[in-house]
Amino acid sequence: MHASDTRLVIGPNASLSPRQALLFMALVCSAALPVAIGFALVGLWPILPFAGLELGALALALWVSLRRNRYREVIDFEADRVRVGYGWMQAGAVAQIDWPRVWTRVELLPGGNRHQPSQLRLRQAGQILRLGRCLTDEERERLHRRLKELLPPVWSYTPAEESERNPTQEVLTGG
Amino acid sequence: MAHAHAHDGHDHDHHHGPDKGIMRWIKTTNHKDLGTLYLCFSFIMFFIGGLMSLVIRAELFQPGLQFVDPEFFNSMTTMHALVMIFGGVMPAFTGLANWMVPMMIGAGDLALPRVNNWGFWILPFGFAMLLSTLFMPGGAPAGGWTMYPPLVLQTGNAFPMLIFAVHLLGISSITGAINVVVTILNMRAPGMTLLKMPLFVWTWLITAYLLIATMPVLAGAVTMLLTDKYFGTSFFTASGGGDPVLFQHIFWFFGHPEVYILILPAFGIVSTIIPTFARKPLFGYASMVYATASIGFLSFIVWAHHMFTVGMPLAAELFFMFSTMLIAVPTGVKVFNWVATMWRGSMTFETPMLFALGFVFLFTLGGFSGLMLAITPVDFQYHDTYFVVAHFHYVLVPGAVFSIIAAIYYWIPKWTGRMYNEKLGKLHFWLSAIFINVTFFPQHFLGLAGMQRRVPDYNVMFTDFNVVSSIGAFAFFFSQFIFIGNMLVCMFGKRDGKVSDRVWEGTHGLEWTVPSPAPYHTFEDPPQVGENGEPVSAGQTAKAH
Repeated sequence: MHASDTRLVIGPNASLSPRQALLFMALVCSAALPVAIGFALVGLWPILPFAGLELGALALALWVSLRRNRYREVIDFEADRVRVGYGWMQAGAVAQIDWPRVWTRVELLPGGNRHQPSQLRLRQAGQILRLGRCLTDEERERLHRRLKELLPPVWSYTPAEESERNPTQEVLTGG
Repeated sequence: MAHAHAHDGHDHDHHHGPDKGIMRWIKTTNHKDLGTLYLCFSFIMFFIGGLMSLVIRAELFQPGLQFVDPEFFNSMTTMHALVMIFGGVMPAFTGLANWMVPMMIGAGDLALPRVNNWGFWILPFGFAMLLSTLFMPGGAPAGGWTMYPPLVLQTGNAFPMLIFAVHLLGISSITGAINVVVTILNMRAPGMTLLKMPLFVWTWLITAYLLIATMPVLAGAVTMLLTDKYFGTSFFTASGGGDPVLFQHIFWFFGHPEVYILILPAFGIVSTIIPTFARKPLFGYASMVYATASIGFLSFIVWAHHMFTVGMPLAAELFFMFSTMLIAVPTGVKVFNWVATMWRGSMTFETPMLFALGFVFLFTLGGFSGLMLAITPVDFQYHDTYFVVAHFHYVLVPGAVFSIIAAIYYWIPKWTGRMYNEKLGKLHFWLSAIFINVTFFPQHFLGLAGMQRRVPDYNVMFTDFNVVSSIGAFAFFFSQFIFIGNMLVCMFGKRDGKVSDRVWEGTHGLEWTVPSPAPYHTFEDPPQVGENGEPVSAGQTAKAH
């Protein structure tokens, strides 16, 4: 693991936390399960498996949606390297790139028309990586400015001394 | 959340427009396409269910048997109800939710788009199966939409088809409900807290909750009917130790929340339209939310008011009578708030507002007759008469159906970019409002005088009111072609002048910040919602305009 001077973490907008999802599941179960169990106790057991199936489907849907919330793009800036990893939190990065910092450029392209979002891209030696799709246009602009500060042109680039480094983490979530 | 996956292949073509041809509609996962499909499907079902009602009213135009035999008449009453409830009203509200919920909360689409596609495409198969029973030996189901045993167990070859169709329609409803719940909970734009959500979104959230809580009961109930008929069980067969009345209890445990599933989204629509045309914020927003939640809760504890006459302990009759009457409180809060919203507002009476006002007035009438039916000793007189038919049609037609029509008039300029013909819209409203009363108001008198429902023949003393009712039904049915024509022109007519993004002067909310017609993909980037619930994201707003 290399020591990074700056780390940017980018994630999607999400209005539901796992705790709230559990609370909602509990709320639904508190209505559906006692009824199904009550009917089962008077002999009408076929309601219970249907209730179980349906609550399972709801739980699965919430889990899938929450899993998407865990998507992150992590950009680490080191003295001479830029590392970008993306994937789901607690599951490790599904892919990583490791590019020389001085040769990595950032560009922000406007959308093809007024309905399309802008594109924020990192480029290095013909390779392109799109970043920040889960952000708004304004946030991409802000991120673009920040990335330009962190990736200055090669002629003006002066790596910081080890002692001058002040590691920071910046978190950007969609919206 | 605009995109969860930044690097998967799906996103490469994400910004393209829709596919061409029929495959666009079969494969689509776009919430607007699926909303359109749901609405078109529901209107086909309204047409089919409407034709069935005309068969019923033609037969009842005079005493005696004119056109159909009694068995077919009973099939018509059964199928009319199933088609209108599961094929007309529910898919129409799901279609409106598909179109509007993501746009209202600032989401790009529903949370589970592929499930959304699947949920819709189950419906045509379910209804093909159900309607095919009309051509089967023994005819279509004729035991009533409530499927009470032992009568329903006498259904011929249609019986398993009925049960399987109900299962399919239930699966479709559940997938829609789960999708709406997950979308509302997880995909709201930043700043859109629960108590800033539009009322339509709130009412749909509670509707989805009711659907999820009660659908397993229906699924279990019809499965037990199936096993009673074919697998030798005796859940509801008295000769085997079962109890047919128990079916009524579990059916109405599903059935009464179902009534609110059919009306809560209508409350949301009316709560959206009235403030727009009164040019005032909705009076008592929070109380509207709590009233909706209260109605949802109470819907679970009132089921037996549908079956007072089966014989229940006095304490149970009293409990269900009072709990039913309790529903009048939150419903009264809603009606009061709608009226208070209009009080001293700068009101105008465009077609959506006319239908919303028609809803408030006529739904309240239906509510009052519901209160009468809630009184147990009185219900003993009214049970199974045309008074009940008049009551629930007042709730469902000027209630649910008027709200669907109002919603379509209100939002179709946003959907198509064209304004409907206002004169035709008003003509449609007045014809509908007049003839719905001509159809159903006399049925109160018929019921009070003792005319039974689900009977093709009647005593000659009921003739006059039946003649009036039948004339009203035919006139109401044909009035709807004005609406269909008006909407078709909006969808396919010449484009002479586009409507603005904010179609109506008094509108608020995120859906009015996107262009008209709404682009195929909206809110690729979630907008920001401010303290007052209005969008504050300058970039998004600028892009939208």
